[in-house]
Amino acid sequence: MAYDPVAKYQRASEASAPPRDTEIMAFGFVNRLLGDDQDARKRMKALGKNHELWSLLLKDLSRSGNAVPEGLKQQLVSLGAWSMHYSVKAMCTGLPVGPLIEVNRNIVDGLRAQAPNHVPAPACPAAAPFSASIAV
Amino acid sequence: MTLTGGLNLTVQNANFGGTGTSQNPGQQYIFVLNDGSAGATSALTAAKPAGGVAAATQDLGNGSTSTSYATAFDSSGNATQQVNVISVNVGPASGLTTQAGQTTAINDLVTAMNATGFGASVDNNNNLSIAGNNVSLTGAATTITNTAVTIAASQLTGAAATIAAVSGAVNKLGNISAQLGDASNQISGLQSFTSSLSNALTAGVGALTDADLATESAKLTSLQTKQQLAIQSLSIANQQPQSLLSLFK
Repeated sequence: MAYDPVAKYQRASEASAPPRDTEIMAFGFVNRLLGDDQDARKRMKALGKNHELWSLLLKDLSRSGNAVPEGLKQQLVSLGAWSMHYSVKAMCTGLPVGPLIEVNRNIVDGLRAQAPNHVPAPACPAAAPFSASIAV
Repeated sequence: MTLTGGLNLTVQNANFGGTGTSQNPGQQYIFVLNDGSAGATSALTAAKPAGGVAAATQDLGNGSTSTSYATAFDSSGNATQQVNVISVNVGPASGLTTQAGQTTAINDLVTAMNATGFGASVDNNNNLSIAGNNVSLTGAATTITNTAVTIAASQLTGAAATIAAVSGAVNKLGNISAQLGDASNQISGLQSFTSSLSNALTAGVGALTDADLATESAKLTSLQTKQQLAIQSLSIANQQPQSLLSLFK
């Protein structure tokens, strides 16, 4: 079998970081990119990452085994669809990214409230969702 | 400015002799009237500088193209001399046997020169006037050999030269903005594709979602979602939690 460092890293990360913490870090990562959008290229990348994040979440939510309760799932899918639409629109117009950041921050707040005293170890240097200088 | 073989028109600026810098490289423009004949093809091949590094090819419209070759470099590797070979599409060779066909060919040449950034024009007596693109002409009357058409080349001076130079620049900009327009159309197409993909996805998840949230309702929904999430002990993507790691790549 060929050596696959990415798969190996993913297995290792899965073992060490609980999925919820990975989600918190992912939102933090995307919000940090969105908050640093002063040039067009960075802005495009940030919007692309936001689109990618929500599309990954929506894909999982639409799987039959996803355990999120129906009402909450409905809200998350609506938000995801809105966020992806908004990202695409913002790529081609000057729409502000503030609303995307605000919605993402609310999701992070909800996830963090599940484990108020738990501080996850950073999985990569780019993701630092708990730094005071970063709008999460 | 020279005309050779009845097919090639060569124009070069004062820097081309070897005094070019990377900021102001010496430029030579070789216009080859390409009628698709074997003679035109070999003239086009001959015009390519030996050892030149092809830098960029530009579509000038109407089937004409311009290819730049860097032929000399400074110590930092920036080009100081450039040869631009312009293939001017003048239609089939048979057209060139008539006076009307030759006039059309000259008009094609002028169009290609304008697209390259020259202010070029031909008057009723087939006098060709060229200005702009930092070109200094030693305007000698020139004849296209093997044809009945005579082109007298003259150098414009004063206000006429400025007007021609500006209109040449405007033409070049128009050409570039047409290319930008093409790219922008491509992006719009991609955008509409992505939007329909999101729509299809939303439709796929079923009627349970409100697909068309306004920004304010999205903010409100996210606040409600925050409360709902807080009383759970679940991750959102609990089927394939590791999929999110691809985001950090």
